[in-house]
Amino acid sequence: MAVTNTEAITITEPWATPTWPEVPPDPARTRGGYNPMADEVVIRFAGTAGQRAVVLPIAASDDLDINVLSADRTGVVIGVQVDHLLFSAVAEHPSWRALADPVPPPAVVAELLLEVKRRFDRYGAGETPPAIGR
Amino acid sequence: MADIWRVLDRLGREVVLTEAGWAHILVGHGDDLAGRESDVQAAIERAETITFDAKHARRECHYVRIGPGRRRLKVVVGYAPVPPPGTWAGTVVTAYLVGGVEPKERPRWP
Repeated sequence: MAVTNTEAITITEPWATPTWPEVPPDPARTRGGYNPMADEVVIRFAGTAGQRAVVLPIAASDDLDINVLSADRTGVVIGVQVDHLLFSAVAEHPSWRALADPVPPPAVVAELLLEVKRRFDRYGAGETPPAIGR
Repeated sequence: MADIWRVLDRLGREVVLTEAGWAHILVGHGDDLAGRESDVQAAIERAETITFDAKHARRECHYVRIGPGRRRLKVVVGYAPVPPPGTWAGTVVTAYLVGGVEPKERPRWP
């Protein structure tokens, strides 16, 4: 009888299939902020402290590099990240300049979350987002 | 601006992580990286892949697999010329966990 050694090792990676939170995030209760060295803004939703996240790009335009923070162990989206904020993202969304403020206005955070949610619902998120125009 | 560490990357360039830079990183990614300065250092010294940043000509992204599965630590470094001529050195500007190398970034190394 042939003996094979093919033990399957399955590694579950819930972060790879992110889902938007059932309870919509409150733009007035977020953490995180702007990193001026990287020109990157990270917004983490309330109630997610201590949760590790994997940053996944979602479909964006030439000017926009936006990502969701997918919880490592659940895949629930616990935050969002915009790369190259002042360098290029504000060209498409001028109001987002305020995201670089020490305390971003909740109205602008709400705009950001709305845009990310819209693109997330339409295109999803993953390691290889499709390139799209504006 | 005090340094946390200075190391050489895969291409022999000196890269520094400053205390100020680390503080900026932890503002957004503290839940993921607090206390893991040595992992960021390892990503520079033992990167598996280096790419050019999609938008900034002088930025490069260092990727290293972290733990089981496909997750990688991505460390973005801004480079600038330093003496003597022809020499470049870098500063870590951000770091976070990702699901893979971003397809928009062109390969730099290997």
